Amino acid sequence: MAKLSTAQRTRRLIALLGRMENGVVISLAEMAAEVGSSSAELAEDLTTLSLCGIAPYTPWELVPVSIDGDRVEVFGSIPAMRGPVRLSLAEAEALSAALSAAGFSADDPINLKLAAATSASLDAEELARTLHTETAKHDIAIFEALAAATRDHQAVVLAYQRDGDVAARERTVEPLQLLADRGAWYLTAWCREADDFRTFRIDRIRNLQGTGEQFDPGAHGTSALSAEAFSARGLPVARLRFTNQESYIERDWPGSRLIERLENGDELAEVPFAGTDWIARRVVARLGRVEVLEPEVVREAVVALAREESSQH
Amino acid sequence: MYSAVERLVNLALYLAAARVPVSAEDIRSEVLGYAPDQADDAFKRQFERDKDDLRTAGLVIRTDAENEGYYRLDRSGTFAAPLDLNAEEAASVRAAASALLGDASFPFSDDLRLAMAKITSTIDSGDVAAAARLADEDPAQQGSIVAQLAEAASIRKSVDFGYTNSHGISAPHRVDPYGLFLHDGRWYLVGRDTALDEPRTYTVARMSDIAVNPARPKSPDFERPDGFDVASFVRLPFQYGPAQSRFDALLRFGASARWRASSLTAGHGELEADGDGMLWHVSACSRPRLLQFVVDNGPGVHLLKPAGEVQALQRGLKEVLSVHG
Repeated sequence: MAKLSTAQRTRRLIALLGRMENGVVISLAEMAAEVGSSSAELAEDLTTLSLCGIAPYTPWELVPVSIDGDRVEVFGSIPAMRGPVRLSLAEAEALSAALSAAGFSADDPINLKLAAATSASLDAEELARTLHTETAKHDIAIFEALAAATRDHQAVVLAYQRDGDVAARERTVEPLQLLADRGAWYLTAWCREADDFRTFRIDRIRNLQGTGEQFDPGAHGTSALSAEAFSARGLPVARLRFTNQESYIERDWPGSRLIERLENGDELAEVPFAGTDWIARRVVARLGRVEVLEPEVVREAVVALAREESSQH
Repeated sequence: MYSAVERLVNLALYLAAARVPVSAEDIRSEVLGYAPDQADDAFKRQFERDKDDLRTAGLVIRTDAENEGYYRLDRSGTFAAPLDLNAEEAASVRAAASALLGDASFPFSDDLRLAMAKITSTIDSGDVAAAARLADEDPAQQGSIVAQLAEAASIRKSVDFGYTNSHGISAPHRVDPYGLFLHDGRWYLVGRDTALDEPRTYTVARMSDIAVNPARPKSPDFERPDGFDVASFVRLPFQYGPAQSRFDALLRFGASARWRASSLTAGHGELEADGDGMLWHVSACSRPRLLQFVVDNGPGVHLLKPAGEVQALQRGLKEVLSVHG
């Protein structure tokens, strides 16, 4: 990690002062996770804080924090400090930008509450005019309920409507992780109907109801989570031919790779796919400029979809 | 020997503890870390820098109105008020922060980390498992460049950069950065190209060698136009292209796609009710991309006009069947 400037490190220490509440006993690792530092960085910061104070700098005027192994203890109060310092403008803007990326508008109650309590200088609407994160429109109430259910390990019943479905279907799921990918948010969950992990686009969840039932988040393993969140590993692969009228662009086909450039300008690529619906639709949308070479099941899906679309147009 | 960081924290605590405005000389004698034998001018410069650093950390330090040269901490401006988030809102803040702190393409992760460190004790919520990938092409590079551009836009300084356009042609540009937007996994800069004297949109992933104008760093180089809104520069995929190629299109969302109309149109064009579906009048610049959009977002999305493009779509679908037949 790059060495922090004096100003940057001071900001971190000022932020930590707000956590110095008399009686707090917490593990170093837990506190480090809370404040987004490594344990070693936090230990160094707390040691520095314990040397700071006000005149006459006797032990009674120093910041009352001690570290013993993995244990952090705040054994007194700092009379001069009255809770956490407000966010600087840059910090408030970063928080507002993060919420914007999660679909919260500048005038959403959550933004207004945060701005009122933590930042005197943030103008969230002005920020929105200069920094815009395009996010697939999901129902904020559903996002909030999913975040809470994911945190609390509460099973929920969601009404999910896939593209082309006339009505939503209900599924009972165990929410495990929220994911943002290229402008859309997804929920990874254990789906009890499918008896497997499933990923749901949050803007396609039409309704959500809590069950009040708690689940064990480790009951089905964690292979679908965290580091694997955006990985295409383990998925079947289709071989596609891109004619010279359609350039192969890697980011248009997530997880894909170019395997050969032919003399006539065509390109061959391998594209992973979770379901034939997705890849067939993308191939058909290229209107003959991309051909599926294999597997046959994807070729068949392409033909079926092209016939269906032809009948509609 | 006290470190600069210790001196700054000592100064923050001293200002917080002071019940009356204090002078620079009080600070010099009471705050550990200022060298007693330091020359006056050097002390004053250091004290000014220290005040700036503490202000950047969120402290509101004011000059006493009645006593010039005396300072006090504005306590109501410095300390956060109680934060009244309900359980769902608290979980949402945790989820957004947790996801974006781990995403290299989010350009403000250092500030977000500090923000969460400050408010974490006031948010009554455990962590929420979340991950993000806002930008998918070289996310760390995009995140780093956007952080620079956002700072330049904030202080209104011009930027120089190299840019390779979609035809592979590279050229240097000088731009007054007005704003940034993220769309479909890519960051974009909107600003006035000083050579062309008109607003342009640049793909951040195609930029290189970014340099913020170092001249007169505290003086803005430009003013943003009144009413500027970066969101108005976001287009749908088929709306990019030369202005002279623009044409009007009419699409219909059938009953099965009506619920997605608002999301798919993203505020562009005009929607009107049409029986169990919705009609969408929208301008377009790229004919192939319009056809791709119709199929990509189906079923239930139908192209009605222009007639020539409807026929092109039908021919294209026949070509798919021919290729895979």
